[in-house]
Amino acid sequence: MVILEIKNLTKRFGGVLAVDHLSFDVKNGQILGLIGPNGAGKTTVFNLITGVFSSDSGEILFKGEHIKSLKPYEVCKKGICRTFQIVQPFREITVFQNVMIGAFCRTSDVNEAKEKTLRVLEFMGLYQKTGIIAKDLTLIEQLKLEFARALATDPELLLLDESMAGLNPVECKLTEYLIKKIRDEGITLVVVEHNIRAILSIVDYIIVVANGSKIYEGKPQEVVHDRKVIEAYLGEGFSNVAFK
Amino acid sequence: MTVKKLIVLVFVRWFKNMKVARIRNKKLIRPKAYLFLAIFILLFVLPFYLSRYYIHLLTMIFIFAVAAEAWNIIGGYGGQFSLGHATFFGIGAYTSTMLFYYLNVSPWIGLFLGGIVAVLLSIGISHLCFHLRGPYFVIFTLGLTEVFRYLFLNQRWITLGARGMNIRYIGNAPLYFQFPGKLPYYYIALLTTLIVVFVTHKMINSQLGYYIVALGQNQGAAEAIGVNSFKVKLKALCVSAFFTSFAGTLYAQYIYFIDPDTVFGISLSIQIMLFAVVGGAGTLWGPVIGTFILQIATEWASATFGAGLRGLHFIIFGAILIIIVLSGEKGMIGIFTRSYQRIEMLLAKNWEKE
Repeated sequence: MVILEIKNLTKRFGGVLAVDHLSFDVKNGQILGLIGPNGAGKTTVFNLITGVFSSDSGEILFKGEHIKSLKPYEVCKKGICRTFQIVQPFREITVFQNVMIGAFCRTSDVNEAKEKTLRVLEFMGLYQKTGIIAKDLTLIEQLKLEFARALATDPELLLLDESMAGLNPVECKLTEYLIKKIRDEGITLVVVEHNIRAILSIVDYIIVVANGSKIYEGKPQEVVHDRKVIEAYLGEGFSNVAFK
Repeated sequence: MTVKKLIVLVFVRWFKNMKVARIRNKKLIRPKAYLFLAIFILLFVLPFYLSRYYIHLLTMIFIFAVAAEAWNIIGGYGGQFSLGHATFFGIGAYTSTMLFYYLNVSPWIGLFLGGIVAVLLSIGISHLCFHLRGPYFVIFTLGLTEVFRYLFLNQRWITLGARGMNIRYIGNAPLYFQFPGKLPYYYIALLTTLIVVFVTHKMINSQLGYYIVALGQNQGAAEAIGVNSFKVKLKALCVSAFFTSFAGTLYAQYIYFIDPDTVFGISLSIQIMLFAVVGGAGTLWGPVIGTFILQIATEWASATFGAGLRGLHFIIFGAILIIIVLSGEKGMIGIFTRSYQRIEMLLAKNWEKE
């Protein structure tokens, strides 16, 4: 079943064509990878889906419903949540309060929200950090917090924007594990990532964009052999190192 | 029969809840609660032992504390810096006063009508400002105060202009918000402060409060997890404006005289903001403490140095202000909590040594 359908999406910033007639489907329960060189329009696609920008033309359907003209908070209420390329916690309040704000998306009752928050914190392994002010966390903890806050909104589709940027290899492995763990909860994920080795090992399906349009889609194992992808993004010889 | 049963049922339910609550978080044996209780009793008993001057000083402090606490909702927690809260203050003052002056309406009713007018105005402001991001709200509120000041200065046929409005004294008339001594005003101001603090506390621990805090810290992230920023800011401003206008009415009824330059003055706007920021913006008791400290500092500086070099007391007041603001985040509350933490850490260290 297709959960998110994107048809001929186009976005122009002045003279720059950021997203150019892009179409793809996201199937329920899968992890979809979205890769491409810097400036390819990946983050713009996220911003279009979540309603931060409005697209110039094209359609976005979530579970068969048009969500193109919705505001960010309405999109979140529908069941789509996103994380940011640079982690954006609410810096001056505690981890617990951060996640509470997410949990209030589905309920206005404080006790219900508290229960939900505790469950999510435990799931993300942040239970010990509940009382710490968000700005005092390390980067990986802040990333976990960002995930937790998004999960607290009960999303059906989660968009992760370059979660692994700035993490060391061990932390990348942990993030991979967390992403899989979230998928096992039945949440569909779209992952934007530059860490190709990591993304190829977790995604079920991959889409490569360059200059705002799709140049490849298919299984992750095959992408490294595609001529166009190698020219546009990966570079020669990547296939030799990608799967050792 | 059934009514009696119902009452018994409600009472039993309440008693059980109390018991459960006591066991759950043992709030009743916390030292902090006793500290607050002691301060409350002190504030209620204190005026019997103080001279008229100190009662006056405290009354003014509590009136401004109401405004500062109200500012704190939108400016402190919500991070929407308002430099125009004098507008709401003035609306409160003029609404009740004009209703009493022309129509003989009791200022008690004017108190709430003023609040409603302030809320209506803030709905208008929200629609103009809160769809935009950036400094527009600050500039808008700053300008708005001036608009109202000139409006009230020049529409002399109804506001009496710069001459100001006197509230005629009709003797001991509690129903008309008029009392013979200073004490009743003191208690009304104190109670209003406590009510505003209580409402703020309740609000901050609800969904709306969490959303207000989220918007104050990171609007983009808040919207991404389902916060309707416009609606939340609108509600926060309405509550804030409502209580600020309360402070205006209290001021008018206590002083018995208002004029546009005082109640719609930019200096009043800045004062309200300063009280909250110096005490600790975005903390529950910060604005109240800030009002205390700044008002007393002003009085002390002008009483001690006012007779000497001209303007010296302003310099000293300014110096106090700078020291507090430079000493880190969250004003006085921040200073208290940081030193408390430091003492705690020192104690813990010594504990380990022994």
